[in-house]
Amino acid sequence: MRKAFRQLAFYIFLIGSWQLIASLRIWPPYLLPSPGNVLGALRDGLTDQTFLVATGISMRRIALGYGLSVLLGISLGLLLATNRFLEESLGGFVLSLQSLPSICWLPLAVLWFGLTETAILFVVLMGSLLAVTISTEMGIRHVPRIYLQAGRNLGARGPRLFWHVLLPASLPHLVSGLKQGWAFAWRSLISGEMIFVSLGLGHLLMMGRDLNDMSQVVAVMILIMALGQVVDHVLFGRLEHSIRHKWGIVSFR
Amino acid sequence: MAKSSILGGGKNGGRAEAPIMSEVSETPWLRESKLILENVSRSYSSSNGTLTALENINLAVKEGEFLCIVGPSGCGKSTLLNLMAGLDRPTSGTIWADGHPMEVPHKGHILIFQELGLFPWLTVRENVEFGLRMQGIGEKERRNRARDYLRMVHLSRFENSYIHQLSGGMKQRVALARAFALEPDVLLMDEPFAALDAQTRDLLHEELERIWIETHKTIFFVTHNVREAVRLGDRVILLTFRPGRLKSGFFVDLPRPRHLEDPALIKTAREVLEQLRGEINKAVEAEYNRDEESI
Ligand SMILES: Nc1ncnc2c1ncn2[C@@H]1O[C@H](COP(=O)(O)OP(=O)(O)O)[C@@H](O)[C@H]1O
Ligand SMILES: [Mg+2]
Repeated sequence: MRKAFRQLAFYIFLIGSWQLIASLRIWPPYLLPSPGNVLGALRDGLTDQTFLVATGISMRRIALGYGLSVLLGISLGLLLATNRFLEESLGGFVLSLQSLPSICWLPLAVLWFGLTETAILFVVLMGSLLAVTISTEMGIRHVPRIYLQAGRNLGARGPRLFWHVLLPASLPHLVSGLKQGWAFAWRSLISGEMIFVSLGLGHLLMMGRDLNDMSQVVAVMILIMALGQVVDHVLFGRLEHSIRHKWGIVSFR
Repeated sequence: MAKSSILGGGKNGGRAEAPIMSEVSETPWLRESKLILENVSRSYSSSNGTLTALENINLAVKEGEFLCIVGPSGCGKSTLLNLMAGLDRPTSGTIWADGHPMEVPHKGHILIFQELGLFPWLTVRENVEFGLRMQGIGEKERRNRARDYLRMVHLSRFENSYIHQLSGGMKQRVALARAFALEPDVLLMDEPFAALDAQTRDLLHEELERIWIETHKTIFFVTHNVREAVRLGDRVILLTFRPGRLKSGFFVDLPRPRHLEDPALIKTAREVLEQLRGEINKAVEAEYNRDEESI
């Protein structure tokens, strides 16, 4: 309760100072819009539905791209964790690929797929794939042997052993990778959308720039931030809470 | 102390010494015994040599027998149980289950691990259901059976708790229920009560004995505590230290339910302990030498 109060106080202070500086007119409104301007832009965008449409498009893309990367990443991580040959060959390569900012995949994607939806999905996928892969591999490697032994003794084999024992046992480890993957995917998406015309939130940002409409730019930035926060809280907050509830005290690495 | 066969055919008197080594390949044994270990050895090789954990184990376990294996820590008890559960293969020798060479891993041989291995992501009831679920048993039946066995170990009230919310003795009972719910052919128990306080252990001894009398499962119980072995077992066998060999066996013919404080039981335990003392000293010495080396 006190924490919420402090946070509220902080935001009031932040917006208040912003309003104050804007009203001093040191910079013209097209460089520094007032909170009111931004709020207006936000309201306009929401009422004429451009923001909603863009949000819908971006969310659909991230759901697809991120969903795919989670599926692929977990499978790849499992292969790396269980196959020594793959680990020794592909493992190091995956690590070095991860140091590549995901937007670097955009030129490649455009050459392969053209300026298409697929190209954007590819960039989003590559944004989070490696983080998920690496955390899955680490997660599985850190599963105490006793869970596997117990699972096998109780009759779990092959895919069921993976699904019912290995995966849930590595979840505390995996969550941090999923979360990181999500953050990477979200960034890649917005950057990708900014670079080529494709509707979506990133595109809306660039449109604001082209129209010299700073209020819209800031409004969209706030929207992107808010969406990121909401997903983080709703999806991962719940997941972490559930793990903590079940396992007792767990540190997420 | 009178000698008797490895199968425990002639129980003469309160207690009898049973030689362990015998010709196992005589066929009737294969048919009569639940489990037969024939010249079973297991060694581990590493960069600094080979460690023989178990050497030439010959043993026959009767159906419905409550067999206790006692040995100092590090003598290969867990290794033996892993072999019997089919989670590991002997380096040499054969294990027969119901007259057939054992599959790996073996379905009807359920092991309660020393570390339990309860799943923290599942509730108590889901833990008990786990094995049934792997057998493809439907949700409703699974739930009913899990509830029956949770009632048996007096944990009904905690069916929806998670593992970290339970005390040590309660966890132990979940592991018991999880194993019994599968209605195993052979129940293998690895020092299950070692980490518990005396009162809880007494209680669980009573519960285990009661359940065994009710179900008459074959139980293979491993412990380093001689009194516990005498308290529970029909037969107590000593496992020697490095290499692990079966040393001698005793039939315990005391009436059940037994009590840990019963003078007759204490006397028997003391005699068994005399036999074991040399082995325990050897274990302590080895432990001590290892510490010296690492300094
Ligand atoms: N996987 C393994 N690799 C190498 N050595 C092992 C392994 N498992 C057990 N051992 C060794 O085998 C011996 C017996 O171990 P264990 O069966 O766990 O003994 P106990 O359960 O009686 O305490 C010990 O000396 C231990 O160090
Ligand atoms: Mg052990």
